[in-house]
Amino acid sequence: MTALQESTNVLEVENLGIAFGSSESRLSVVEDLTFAVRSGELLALVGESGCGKSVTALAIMGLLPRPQASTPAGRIVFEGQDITTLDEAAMQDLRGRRIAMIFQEPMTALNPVMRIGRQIEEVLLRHRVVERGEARPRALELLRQVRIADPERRLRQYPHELSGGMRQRVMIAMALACDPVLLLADEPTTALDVTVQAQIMELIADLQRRRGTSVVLITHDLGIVAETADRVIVMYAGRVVETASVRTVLEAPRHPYTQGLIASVPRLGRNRRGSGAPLADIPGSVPPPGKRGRGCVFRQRCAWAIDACAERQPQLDPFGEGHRVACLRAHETVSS
Amino acid sequence: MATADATALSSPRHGAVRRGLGAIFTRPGFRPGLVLFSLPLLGILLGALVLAPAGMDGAIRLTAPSWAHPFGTDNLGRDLFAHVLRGGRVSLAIGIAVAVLSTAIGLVLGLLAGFIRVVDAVLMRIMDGIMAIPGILLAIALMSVAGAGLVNVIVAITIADVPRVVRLVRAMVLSLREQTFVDAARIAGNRTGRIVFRHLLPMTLGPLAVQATFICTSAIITEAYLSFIGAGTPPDMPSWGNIIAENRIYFRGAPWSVLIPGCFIAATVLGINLMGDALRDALDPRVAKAI
Repeated sequence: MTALQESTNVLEVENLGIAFGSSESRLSVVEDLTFAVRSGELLALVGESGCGKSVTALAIMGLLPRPQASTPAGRIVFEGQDITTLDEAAMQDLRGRRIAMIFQEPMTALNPVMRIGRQIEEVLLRHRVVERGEARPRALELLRQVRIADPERRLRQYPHELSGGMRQRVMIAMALACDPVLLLADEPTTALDVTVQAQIMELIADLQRRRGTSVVLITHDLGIVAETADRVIVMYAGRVVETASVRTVLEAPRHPYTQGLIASVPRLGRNRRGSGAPLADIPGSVPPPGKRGRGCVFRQRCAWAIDACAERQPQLDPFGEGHRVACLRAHETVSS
Repeated sequence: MATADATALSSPRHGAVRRGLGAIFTRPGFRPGLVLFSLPLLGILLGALVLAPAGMDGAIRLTAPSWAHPFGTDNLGRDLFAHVLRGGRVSLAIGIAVAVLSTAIGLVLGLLAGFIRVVDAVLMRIMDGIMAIPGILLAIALMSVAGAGLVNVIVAITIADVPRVVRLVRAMVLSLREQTFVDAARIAGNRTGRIVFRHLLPMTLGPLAVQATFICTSAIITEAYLSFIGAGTPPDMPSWGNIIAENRIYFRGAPWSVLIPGCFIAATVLGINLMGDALRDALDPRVAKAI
């Protein structure tokens, strides 16, 4: 991979705004979201439930539920082209071929009455990656690549005959069928056993390294982020609150929300060291859309909040090398 | 291993069909259903291919079953064996025609209603309107307007049955379209038409096949009702319904003339329903696998 390619952005999301509801009662779910995915990197989109991660992924796919969602504001530039302006036929051509997605629930993401082999072949044939006769050997090859046990037999099986981990491998095989440039992985391991989680993440990270696919990993599991991601974007209530390399985010987070997230990850041995402290949490929950008001969206739950926080939403300001934080008191919030 | 792979790769579809049809035989209820249905069916085939129409003979009016006339004779001295077996042809034809027609029409309308909001709003109100009238009354009303006749009976019963299929298909599409695998199919770049026909349509076929068997049997019964009250097939075209209708006034003296066609209706309806249930189980890969 050349240096030029390395520096290019596969995806640029600029001032993305997503709102649901009619014109009288619009609920803004994602506001002013800006981020970029570099070629070949694994970018983690982190945040708790309801902060707009999945909706962002659907917006990139051009699959926001209609008519509940309005046309997104801002731009989504994929490979130099603003895909929010593309018509449906052009989007259908992109989906599955250039941008692929895998879901949280491998149990329901496969058609229950269609054999695994045919579901993989369908993607291959839809985008004319292979001729009809070559689809089956290619599907088998894809199953081998995702290291599924006994791939010949899996082709002939139905989804219900496979375990959750195997189904997620099938989903990954389908996502990679057309060698996409960008893979959106929406909590790909949440529904799986812990041991299987590690295998699946390893598989995604391995395929990302070998094929140079950019991956956007949507998750709330910081353990997975620590092991696989290159960069992290922390989202809260539809906004980016902090973005940095994975090391910076884990070791020197500046936004109080990021700090809270990291503090609330259970660690083995914490009690043995004698602290005896209960597991930290972040009090309260994400304010629902429409009740976010002016000012910093996190201020109601923030220990550092001051009066100024209620006046305006802080900008995402550069803080250090590739590190941006949206907090008025970012300089003071050094965790001890 | 290599040869096993080759055969497996070359015949991905035939296995499913073979296993699906194999599974149906192992379902409880299928064999009794098949036996029950095959008796009237054999009779119908015999009636259609071998037996001549029963002639009238005033000398043998209302005689009890005997070797010469296994089912006895009716008021006009017609041999009921030939009459009933020939009548089954009409009953079964009506059942099958109504099942096929109402399933096909209902499937198309149901898919449209499930996927297009505007169509849904208009079409479902019409279907509600039809369903608000009891099916048998609607069929009687239509028959009284259209007049007796085989085609009219089929059309009248089909109109009354279509809303049942539309509702079923629409309900299935509404729940299926929200499933993740439909999103996944979209994300793989599939067009709406392809998602409807390749992913959603096959999933509706199992319940629909079962619904079709029930519609078939209820059409046979509805035809019998209609004929019984004189709003069905014309008298010169014997069906089980109008044979019962013609003979009901002689029920006391010649009960066989009513009971025998009645038994044919019962056996046919029960047999087809039992097989319909078995079909449902066999078409569902989860149940088929569990056997």
